[in-house]
Amino acid sequence: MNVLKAEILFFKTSGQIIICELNTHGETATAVILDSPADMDYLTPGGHVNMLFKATEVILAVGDLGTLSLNNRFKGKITSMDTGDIFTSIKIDFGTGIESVITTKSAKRMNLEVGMEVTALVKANEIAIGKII
Amino acid sequence: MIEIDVTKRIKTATGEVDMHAVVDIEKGGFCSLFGKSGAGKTTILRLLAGLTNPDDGVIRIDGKIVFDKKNGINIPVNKRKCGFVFQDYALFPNMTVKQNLEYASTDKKNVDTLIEMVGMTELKDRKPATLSGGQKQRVALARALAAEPEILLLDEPFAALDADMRFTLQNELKEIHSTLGITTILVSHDKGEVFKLANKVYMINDGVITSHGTPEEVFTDTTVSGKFKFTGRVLKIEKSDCLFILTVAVESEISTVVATRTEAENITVGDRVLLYTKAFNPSVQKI
Repeated sequence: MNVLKAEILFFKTSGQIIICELNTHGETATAVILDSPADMDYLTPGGHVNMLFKATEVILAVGDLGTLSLNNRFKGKITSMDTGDIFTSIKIDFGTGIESVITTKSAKRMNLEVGMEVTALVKANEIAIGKII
Repeated sequence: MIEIDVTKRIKTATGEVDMHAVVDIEKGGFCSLFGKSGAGKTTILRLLAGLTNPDDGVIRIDGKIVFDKKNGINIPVNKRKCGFVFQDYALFPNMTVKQNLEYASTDKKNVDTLIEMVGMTELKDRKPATLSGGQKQRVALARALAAEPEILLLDEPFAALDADMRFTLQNELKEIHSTLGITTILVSHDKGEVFKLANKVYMINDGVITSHGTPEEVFTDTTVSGKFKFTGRVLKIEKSDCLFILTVAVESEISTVVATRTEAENITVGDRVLLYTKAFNPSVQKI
């Protein structure tokens, strides 16, 4: 589980769905959640929360991204790699640590190695918001 | 409206404690007392019904005092209009289904309607020994209703039944409650049951009411926004490739979850864990 501290910039609701714009370590991020703001007393602009998302949901890209629907793009350097037969766990630093688990097949195809610059991509609906405790 | 504010010395799993029970239940509501065995849940039902006396305090039902230690008021059991259903049915073995209801009924004309309401018309001349657990509990529920109670007290009524029967009877009870609107108090240690039936829950631990509110308020961890959340116990942790596979018991189901090294490293077998995912992720399929 990736846990990133973030500041809430603003949020908007439509029915039970909330879209929340955040700033995490200088990068803007978007989270879409299903909840009621009344039940989340920590959801206030300027407030600080944790952004949580699973490492297996983090996509990695190298070089120019072209046009992508993804809002959450964290550009950083690979700091470590744990290579298994099927999966590889990759740690990236963009001011804070992020973990991505991708197939070893993809990691090989992309020639990923420690020190390389990559962009970690996360869909907005994969990010949960949590209270900092 | 039921207003309980009493103390009672009880024996719990961790020794004797003075339980201070403050419980308010709106008229027509469905309230659950939730907690482990020996926490004091059944005692609260017995105090309300008049089967046990509090050491101190006051109990009011619809504004009328039924117990007041200081003023020496103690309305007897048979005047409190409480219907009881126990886990072990407690039916009269020598009487048929119909006779069991007639014995308890205030008006024999209602008996057939109640038998029909719980779907036992075909079996009304049977004796309890020839019925299944689910059928016996239907009779026990109908018999409790035959006395036209103002309050229905259910003490783990479905705990001895298998999962499918429990599910069916929970639905029937929900239907009966919405039809008759009798104030109902259910003792349970099944979160799913409480969520399904109750609009208010009191969580009781070792004689202390630790929280109360709607089931969502009492049971849901509000520190994470995930809408698909379950608590479970870790049974097994296995390394697979560069990941870890956790086997987690959630209620009576077994789940497996993939965890990364960082997630798995501070978890050991036997730990209670929160499993959650975003409401966007689960796929839904009719079964």
